[in-house]
Amino acid sequence: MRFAKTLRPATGDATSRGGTDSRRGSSPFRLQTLDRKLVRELLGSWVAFVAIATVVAAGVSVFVMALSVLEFLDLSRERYYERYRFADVFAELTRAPNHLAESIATIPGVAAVDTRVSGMVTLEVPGLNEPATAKMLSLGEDINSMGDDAVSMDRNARDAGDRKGMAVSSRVRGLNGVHLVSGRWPDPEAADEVVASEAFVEANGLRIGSELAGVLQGRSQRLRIVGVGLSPEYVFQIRGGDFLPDNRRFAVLWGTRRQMEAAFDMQGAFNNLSVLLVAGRSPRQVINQIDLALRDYGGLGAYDREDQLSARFLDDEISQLRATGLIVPAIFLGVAAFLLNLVFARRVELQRESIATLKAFGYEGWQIAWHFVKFALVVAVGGSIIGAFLGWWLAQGLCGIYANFFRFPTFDYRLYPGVVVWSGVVSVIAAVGGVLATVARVLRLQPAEAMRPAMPPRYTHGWADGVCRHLGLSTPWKMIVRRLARRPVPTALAAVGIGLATAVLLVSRFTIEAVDSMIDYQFNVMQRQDLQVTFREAMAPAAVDELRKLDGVRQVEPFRAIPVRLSNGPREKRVSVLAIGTGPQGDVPNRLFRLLDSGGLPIRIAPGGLALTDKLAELLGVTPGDRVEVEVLEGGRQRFSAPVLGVAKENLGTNAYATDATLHRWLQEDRRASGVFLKIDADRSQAIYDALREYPEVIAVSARKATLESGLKTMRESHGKMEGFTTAFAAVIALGVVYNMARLTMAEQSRELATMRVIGFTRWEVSMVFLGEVLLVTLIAIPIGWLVGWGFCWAIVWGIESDLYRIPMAISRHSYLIAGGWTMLAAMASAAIVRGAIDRLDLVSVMKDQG
Amino acid sequence: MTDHPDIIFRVRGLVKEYPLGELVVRALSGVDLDVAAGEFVVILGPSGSGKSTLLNLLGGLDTPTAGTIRFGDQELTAATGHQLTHYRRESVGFVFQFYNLIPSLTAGENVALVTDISDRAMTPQEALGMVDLADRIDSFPSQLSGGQQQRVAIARAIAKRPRVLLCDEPTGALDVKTGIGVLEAIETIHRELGTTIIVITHNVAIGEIADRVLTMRDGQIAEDVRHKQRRAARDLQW
Repeated sequence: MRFAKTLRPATGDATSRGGTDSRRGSSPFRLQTLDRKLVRELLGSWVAFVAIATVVAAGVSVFVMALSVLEFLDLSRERYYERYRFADVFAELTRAPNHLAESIATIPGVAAVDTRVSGMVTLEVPGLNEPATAKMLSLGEDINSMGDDAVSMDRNARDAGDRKGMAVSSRVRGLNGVHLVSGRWPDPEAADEVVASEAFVEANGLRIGSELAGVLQGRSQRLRIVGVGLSPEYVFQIRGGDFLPDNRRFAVLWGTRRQMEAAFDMQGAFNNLSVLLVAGRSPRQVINQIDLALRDYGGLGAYDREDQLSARFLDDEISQLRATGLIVPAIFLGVAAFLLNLVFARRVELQRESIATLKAFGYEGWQIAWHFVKFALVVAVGGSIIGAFLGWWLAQGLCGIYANFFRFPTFDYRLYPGVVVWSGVVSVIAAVGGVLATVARVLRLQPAEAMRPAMPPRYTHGWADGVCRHLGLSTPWKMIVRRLARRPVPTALAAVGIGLATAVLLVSRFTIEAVDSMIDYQFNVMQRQDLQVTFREAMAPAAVDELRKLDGVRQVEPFRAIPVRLSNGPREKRVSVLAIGTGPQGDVPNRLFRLLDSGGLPIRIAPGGLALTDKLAELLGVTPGDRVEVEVLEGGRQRFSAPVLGVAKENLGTNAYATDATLHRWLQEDRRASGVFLKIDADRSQAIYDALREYPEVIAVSARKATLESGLKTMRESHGKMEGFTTAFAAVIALGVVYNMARLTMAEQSRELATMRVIGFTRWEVSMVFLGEVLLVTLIAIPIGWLVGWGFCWAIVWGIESDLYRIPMAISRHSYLIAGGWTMLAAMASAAIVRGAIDRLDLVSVMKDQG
Repeated sequence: MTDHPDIIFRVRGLVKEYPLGELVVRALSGVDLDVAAGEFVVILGPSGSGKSTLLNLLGGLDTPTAGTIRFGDQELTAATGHQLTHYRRESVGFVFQFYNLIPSLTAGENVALVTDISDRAMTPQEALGMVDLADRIDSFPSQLSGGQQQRVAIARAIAKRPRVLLCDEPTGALDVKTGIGVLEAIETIHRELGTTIIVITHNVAIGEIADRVLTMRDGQIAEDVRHKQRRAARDLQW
């Protein structure tokens, strides 16, 4: 109503009414007197308010960044999976006739089935010393031409479920569509054309037309890249069994079905199965049925998205981001609320008389309280706006980092308004919460009571005297210690506030160190081989002996790996059992691939049973002495019960280990090797790579050092950027808290400090009283920060822990020192800024100042 | 070198102006004054007469617009900030209207604050003994009455044996009885240590305990009266 009236054209009548309004000061376009006070005080203490708004902005920016990237990733994943028909269940097998797909399509719960031919290929890549490995897959016949019709068919199929009316033939069709980024599809008539994965092409600087020398089924063949593609199966492109992506040495290649059938002797057959499930259907039963259907065709055990590497890494990343998006902003907004409380408690104290006067004039308590709440709103809204922009900018940076790891057809980030609104609401709640206690005190003040000056601070003898005496402190230090001890709660809160900066810095250091420590443990302490050579199929010892004879090979350890399903009651897990060659008598200790206990000491696997990684033992709920059911997922598909004889500490994956003699006995086979671990002379590596290319039975060579360096480089670059952000944010917290604390200390102590100046103390001596307080609080804050940071790190370890990887709780002394050092530096920097006020102390007014 | 060995302050043509927006307020307009060593001077005058400004300039808390102040053979008006700090540290004791004790320090520690940085100071016990508060050495300011707090402030001011004690309305915040107690403490200091004392006050009655009473009006010394006979503080009434 009032607004409409004001907008009315300025006729004579309206003008006169406007004039009346103006005199009453009630026009919405005129600032109320209290609002003018608000504006002037905001401008007068703008540095303090900007410091708090910056902390709010930091919190909001992380909130906006994490949640909007999360929403973006989530949505991108969902769209990608749906549009490109990412399967729900996957299975690999030796060979099955194509018509088997139709019988699999009849399994209840199956919405669509696709069969492919797949195989491993070793590649010689221009400019790369080590051999690369490629997973080669056949392209579906219909997959890339159906587009939205296919999505609609999937929806129908998923919704139709098991309705009898759905033709079985319509359920057998392409899944896991490939998105062609550039180039063209391979010509069905050409035998050498492939689409290569984008990550591999980019990492090696390849282009359309580049040629690769490949070894397919022991036969050399030139492969020409005619297209660059992406697939929902390889959003995170990683070789099975690896932890870090190595885009230079691992490729995904797609060829035509005809080409693949010819290359891998699969005419009329398939060895790779994908299944889309009816909506809401649990994969468990379908997997059992598929395993049964593939039993006679060398099925290696079907698995769902949870065990599909790319999907799993993406899911884990999204879960972590969800945690980051909540924990970190909570810290920042908590600090901002605390700062607002700190600043306003003092502001109200300084304005007791003004408040009393306003009350005496007839202002309602709520009007005055609302006036103070507006300060918080200005700071929160201002901080939120800055934070939203900063978050938007950071989110684009984070998307840039994610684009290195996760490949989507489109990676165009946009800001989701809902996230911004939420961040604003949360920061307003935090800020208003921060001033509520102060506002409550305003409402309790009686005018007469407030008119009287506040009582001088009351000190009594207490434990602080004992501390002063015990430490033989000088008089200025006694002032500092007693002041802090007299107000333990604000002192503790300030220390916790500053400590949070230390904690954030520690977490930032930890995330880098933990990954380094995890990798060092896994690849330097536990696995010490230079190369892992994988055979196409299990080979007799003669093949291993041949590799042993290669010039430059210093140590050879054969291994046998078989896929199994381990179960303990309802708990089950699909894993590999790895048996490391321990000599014919089982008495040769492992030197390259070692199992270690929780104390880092090598353990030997006892014959006749299994050793499990700690995570696998936990997932299955077993301890040494218990038994697990073993179902071999290849060959004879034996089922037996095996004792758990040991638990090994491992940071990556979930594996089971047995001695090779035990495994051979279980499989009822002669000694065989799936591959070997090699220790080689570095200067002979090229010759060894060249020699390995000549072995038709070798399908994959993994050079540990090169893989690690490549993966770590990308990871460190990402971490470096993130550490930069985190350090800046920690500095914002430290500066924000210390600046405000120092300003309040200065305001509270200015009379004492000025008195000291009058009675003959130098500026430096007086500064020491002030800086000493900040120093002492910071010294208390840093260990608190270490403790809180340790807690955050532990929460991260706990939150991230999955069967893919666990990061160890390893924080070095160096990190503690760096986190503490930066905090101290930031604290002293902001204290030094405030210290300048000592030079401007009014020595004359102190003579008359009542304090 | 002083022109006269007994003169501790020699003030000539002292002018102090404060800018107040576009106006300039002249607080002192050409004050000439000699204060002898060991003299007890009371400066009277209404608010705005310039007495506090004069005290601040004598105490090295402010610098004049024109004129000179010599303290013994030291030209205060030519001193650097550091030299003024040293001057206050070694030669001047201050007593404030509102005591300005550090609330976090006990009475003894408030005195020690000064004795710690002075070379020829008495002990806090001695200083507090002179104002008859040796038994409250461990009390915090909040545990003392206003008069006791002011006596601690006097003890703090004289503990370093300053050559001059500057008191700004030392009884302004106290009732008569307590105020007289404080003046007695100042008398004792003057008698026993021979310190030059300058007290500024609104209270005409306090002038009776001084050797000399200066009355200021409009930034100038309007009257300069020397008493042949001083009254004891305990006999005062107001």
